[in-house]
Amino acid sequence: MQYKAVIIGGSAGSFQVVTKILNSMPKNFDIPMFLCLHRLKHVRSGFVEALSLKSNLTIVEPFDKDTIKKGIVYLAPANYHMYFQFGQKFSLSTEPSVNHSRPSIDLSFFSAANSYRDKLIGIILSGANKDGAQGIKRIKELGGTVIVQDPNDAQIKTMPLSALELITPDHILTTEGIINFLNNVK
Amino acid sequence: MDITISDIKNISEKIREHIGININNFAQEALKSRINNINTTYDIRNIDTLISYIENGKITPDDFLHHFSVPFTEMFRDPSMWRKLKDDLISNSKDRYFKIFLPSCSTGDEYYSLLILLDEIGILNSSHITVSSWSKKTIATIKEAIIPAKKMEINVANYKRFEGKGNIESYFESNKIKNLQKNTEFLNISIFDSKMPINQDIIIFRNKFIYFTQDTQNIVLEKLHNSLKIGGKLIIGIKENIFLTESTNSKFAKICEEDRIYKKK
Repeated sequence: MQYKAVIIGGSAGSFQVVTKILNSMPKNFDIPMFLCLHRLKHVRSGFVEALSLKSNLTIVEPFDKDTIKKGIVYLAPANYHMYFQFGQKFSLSTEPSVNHSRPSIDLSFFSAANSYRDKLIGIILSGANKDGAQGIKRIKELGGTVIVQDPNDAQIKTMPLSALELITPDHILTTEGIINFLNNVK
Repeated sequence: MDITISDIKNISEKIREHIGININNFAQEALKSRINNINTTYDIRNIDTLISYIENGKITPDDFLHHFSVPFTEMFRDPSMWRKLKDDLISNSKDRYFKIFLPSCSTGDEYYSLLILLDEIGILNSSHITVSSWSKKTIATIKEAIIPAKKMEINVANYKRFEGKGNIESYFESNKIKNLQKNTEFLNISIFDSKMPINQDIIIFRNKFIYFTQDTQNIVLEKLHNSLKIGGKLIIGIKENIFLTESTNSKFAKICEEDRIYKKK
């Protein structure tokens, strides 16, 4: 396998894109997928269920120190930052918000970049702020493959445009393009 | 600043020598982030400067510990847990005197939430609270009870979800919590200290296990187990997991899965 993990960051306008991606992934998708999505702090249940409705994949919110497993989709829990430890475990944190966000996409992307280096695919989707731009830059710097949702395809362009201000991604793709890319991951 | 594993190796001994803690007890991502917090606080750009500040006392041990702790950022975080605690205390409150321990506090948010809860159900005067922190500066800050204005929006929202009796703002004078600090003992000890309080009815230790390595979590859990009386309750963070070993299963029974409330067997 060329890649060992996928991490996706999104905010306003990303839910439908993420749902489409999850609904199109094959059952035998063989690497872990991490979702760091801005969400309401106090709503603890319902999100995993909504994402799971039509997906072939198992979607869970990790507990601290849970082991990362292949083929599972992990959603960053509300009101926690999500990090990845060497040794393939999650590490959660309640440190203050970054860019007004907890989970912070930047923090998760930085940590994933450090853990997976060139074996990581980082994807930034629709959103109304700059969170994730610095993180995707870090993924690129450490050799990962980075994809930015085409701003013309994004419901809210700010997040993709902020990423594009900092980096030239490997791919700028529509939702369909992202789905095709992930379905061909080897 | 990007903290590397080699940086951690370099400062580990210095911190043990000058600050008196073993940073290898802490999960690596958390550790990097807390050292970064200290560096940002003191405008430090590299590990050598951090080491010299620690050696020459520009960063005192107490200051280091104060800034190393992860601040709690809101009162009544996870309101459903506070509702369950309230119901539990009410159902057990007849003729009872509660001992409640909040170890390793980094801010007063959990403590103030508890004070308000106990006041609202009328058992503040018949409770004994112990608040501990490894930093004197942290304890002084908790006693000062100032809540930054920017935290109030979330505090108000959480209090409403907690279904508090009145208006959380009535507990404040200006930006300070009113004088509810009754029956509270403040202890300047670390979680690894041998002089932990005993016979506690409830320990609230939320979102602190996450910062330790798995081995250290087991040591800390043993300490907390020793502090509780039989039947006493331990409350941890909703995304923390202590049921990792057989020995934990023999020590605690799960009371509430969702809000991570356990009972000492």
